[in-house]
Amino acid sequence: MMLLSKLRSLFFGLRRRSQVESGMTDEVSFHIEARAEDLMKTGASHEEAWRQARLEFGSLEKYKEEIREARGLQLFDEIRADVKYAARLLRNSPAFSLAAILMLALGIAANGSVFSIVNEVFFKKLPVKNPNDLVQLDWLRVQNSMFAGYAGDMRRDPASGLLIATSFSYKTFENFRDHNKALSTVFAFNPIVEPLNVVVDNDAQIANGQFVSGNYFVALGVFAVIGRPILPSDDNTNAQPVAVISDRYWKGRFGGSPNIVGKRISINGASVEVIGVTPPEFFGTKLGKAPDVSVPFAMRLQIAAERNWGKDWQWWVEVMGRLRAGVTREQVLADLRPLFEDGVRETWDMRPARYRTLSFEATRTVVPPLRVNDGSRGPVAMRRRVVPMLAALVGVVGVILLIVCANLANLLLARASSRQQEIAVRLAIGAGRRRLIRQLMTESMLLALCGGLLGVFFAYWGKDLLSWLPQTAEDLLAIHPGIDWRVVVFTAGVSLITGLLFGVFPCLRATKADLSPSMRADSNRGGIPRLLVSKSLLSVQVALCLVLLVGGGLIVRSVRNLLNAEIGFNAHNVVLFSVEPQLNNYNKVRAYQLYERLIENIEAVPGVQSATISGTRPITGGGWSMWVTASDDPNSRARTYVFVHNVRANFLQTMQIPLFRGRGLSSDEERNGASVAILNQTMAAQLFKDADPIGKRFRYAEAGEQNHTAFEVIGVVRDARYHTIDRENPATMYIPFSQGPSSGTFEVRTTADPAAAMPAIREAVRNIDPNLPLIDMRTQEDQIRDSIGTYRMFATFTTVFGLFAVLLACVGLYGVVSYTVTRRTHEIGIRMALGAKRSEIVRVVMRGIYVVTIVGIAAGLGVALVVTHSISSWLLYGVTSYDPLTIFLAFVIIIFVSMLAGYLPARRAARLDPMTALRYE
Amino acid sequence: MAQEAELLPGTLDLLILKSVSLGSEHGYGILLRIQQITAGALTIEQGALYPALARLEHQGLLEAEWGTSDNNRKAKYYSLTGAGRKRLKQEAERWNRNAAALMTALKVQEIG
Repeated sequence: MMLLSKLRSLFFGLRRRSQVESGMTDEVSFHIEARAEDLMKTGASHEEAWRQARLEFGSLEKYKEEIREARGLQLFDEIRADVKYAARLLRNSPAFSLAAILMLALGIAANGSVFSIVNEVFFKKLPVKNPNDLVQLDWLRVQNSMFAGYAGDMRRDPASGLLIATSFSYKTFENFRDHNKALSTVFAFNPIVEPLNVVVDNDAQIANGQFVSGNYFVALGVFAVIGRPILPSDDNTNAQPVAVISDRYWKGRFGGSPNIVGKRISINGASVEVIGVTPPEFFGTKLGKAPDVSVPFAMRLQIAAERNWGKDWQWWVEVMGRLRAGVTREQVLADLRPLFEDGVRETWDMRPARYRTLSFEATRTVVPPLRVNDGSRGPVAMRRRVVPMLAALVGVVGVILLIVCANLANLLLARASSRQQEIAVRLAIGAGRRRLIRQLMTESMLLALCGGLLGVFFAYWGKDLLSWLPQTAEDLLAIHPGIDWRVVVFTAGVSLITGLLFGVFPCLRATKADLSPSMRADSNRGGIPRLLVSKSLLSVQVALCLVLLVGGGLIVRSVRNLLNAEIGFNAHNVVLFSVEPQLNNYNKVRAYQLYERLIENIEAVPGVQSATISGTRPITGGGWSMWVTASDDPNSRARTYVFVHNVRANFLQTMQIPLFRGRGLSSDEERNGASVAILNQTMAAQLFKDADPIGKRFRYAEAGEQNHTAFEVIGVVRDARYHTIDRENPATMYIPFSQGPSSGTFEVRTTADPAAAMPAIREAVRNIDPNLPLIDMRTQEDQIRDSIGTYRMFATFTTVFGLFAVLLACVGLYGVVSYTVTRRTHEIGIRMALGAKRSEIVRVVMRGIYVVTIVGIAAGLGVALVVTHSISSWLLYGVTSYDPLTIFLAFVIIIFVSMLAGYLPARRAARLDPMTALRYE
Repeated sequence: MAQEAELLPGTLDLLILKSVSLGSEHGYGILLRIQQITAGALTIEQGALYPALARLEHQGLLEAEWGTSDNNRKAKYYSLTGAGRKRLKQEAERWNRNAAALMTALKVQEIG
């Protein structure tokens, strides 16, 4: 109550300030006049009465101030005066102010940007209606869990050590939807992993998509900005096929055309009508790539065609729901558990023949535990993966901000020292220490505020810069960025804290109680402890620089190692592109014929040396792996994990992988899908030890593959990379292309620049089938470069920030040394007069720098080693975390920079004229 | 010379509230009333009244209005708000309690 009245009074006071002031004057005048009149009534003369009245009243000004204080206006006045004074001071030293604000802006912008990524990944809720009511279902994969096929994410739960799975079978979803009581709606979706071939006006391009249940959009409360969303009536096999597209896809592919509703497009060959566009901030219910098109589950047979997922007996659907009012998640779990169990058993009964071997069944008898989780942010699969990366980013930008603070604190200390006399005088005539501190702090806060504002601008525009970051980081940035209030609050908070950090210490120091040394002209005393603080701050900066330089240097070397790695095949001059003819309803036989014709056409293109095809795209991080065994004993448990490359006969020659023993695939063998295989050295050694593998046999050792023909080994080749550059060569087998699925990647070796050949290759494909989209055409070298995106991103970050840090440290060192020389001019003059040589003066000045640098390096080394050790498992390649060469180089850079910083002031000191110096005060 | 040392903190506020409770009045009039009530026993520097009035108004215990005085001058008149009345009652009761306790304590000492 009182607070309210105080606020109201303050507000009124501020708004009608002049009224308040004149009111005060009037009131006080009235009082004195009334008193004077009373006194005159008792017989005093006019002058005496007035004098007496004024005396009795007391000091007008003092009481007026007290009135202002009582109304809360005093504080306001003081702060306003402080801000004006601070602004004037900053205006008067433009170089310092600009430098400080710029440094702050960069540091704060870096932190703001990283935080906005953290915000997107961890804090922001789904942009749907009432996200807090949403729940998301998953289950723990305990041993012997009763399922036959699974498609989707699995990630490890740190608490139980078990894998968490988010996919359910469609039957289970129907059970939940139709029979549950605790949820007001249950809806489902499936982010389609493979790209869809979307043909619009005879132009074929790849797009991302998701399946959704009929009630998906309604349950989420997401409305279409144009047209309508998918409704339950659309999720019916008898209904017209419809699709909803995302805002980004609408603007990108369709040019934001207003005629989008009713437009017919084809998805994987199925004709579909576009019925609506979702709002711009909607990105689906899963973090990561936002789906361009959403289609109802009822269309899965038309679109999925020849797929390995989407079958009724598989678990492939993600399920979420909305809580009823007042219902807890525990109650939901109790309600759903029996429905889940029924669904599990029914799905299990639908499994195909090959999963009905006794060994398969005997082990899978357990209904796994269901979990009901908070769904306000969607499923969390992606989050865990990026935690180490984000943590490292946060670390780097945090260090930068610390360096900026240390630098500014130093500069402010120096400035405060030069104002020491002024401050001492003010303290001496009665200014309160707290008042003075408040004023000095206002200067820092003003700097921090300006820096923060500028930083927000930088961060906002920097978002576009972030797009040149390599692809792996794209996952983080796919969800887009608007300015979220959390980011603004965070940036404001960081600015405030920064201002406090670098401001509080210098101003506490400057207003220390012991005034007399400062007021004296000979103010060299009291200088040494101050310098100790400055020097410590500088050492801290040097240490942090070392950490960044060493870390950055190691990562840069890792990138170079990766790019130059022995990958086992010739990656130069190779063009890659993938095709998925099943999207266009090619069956296996026709696909094969298509490939032959395509290769013929492509090899006819001038500049192309040879073309081949493989089932797996080299260096994408994905692939096909199987367990194999060389033993004839069916009960033997000796098996090896290998990676499978199904390839055309000329693959090994095109990729220039040398053959060590035996022979390559013949065209006949390849065409007929003969059960022959070529092993790489690692696999040969693992399966057959030292024996000659040629002619020997091995077979798949997986459930469901027992009847597959054994492979005969016909050759051995050199090891080569398979998934990613930074993982060693795994055991790999090369088998005929037709043994695997019919989608594949073309590898085309060109004689000259591969990028130049791309248009001609595209044309060659289009001549055969214009509806066949070329997926992701790029050179092999680019593929490799993109696969190490994380490394490159960090290499760039740490290098840029490392250099920035070194620059800051240099400026800081220069500032402090320069200031020291100025303050010790008198002393230098004395030394010179007493016969000191110029070189000696230089030595004295440089000594300070040596100490700072050496202490900084020593302290930094320890921290650097700890940091590099922690990143060594995932950011370093081919270098140890304590690589002496890199550390030595970092030392050299820092020492060189500090010498440079000290050179100018030292020279200035040496050039001093002794007479002038002696007279200097 | 400041005589505030004679005045315990808070008593001025109480006195002001009491004076104003007798009827709306301007600052000078309040001063006269206080001198009346306390029979001249408590003296304050006259100017000190005004910060106290401002404080009480700021806290919402008094409300102020500009009006005309007896001799046709512009003056600011203060009156008690509901909250002010409540505070006056509370403070008065507290004082009485404290005084009674103190008196009992002193009596006991006398006997002992």
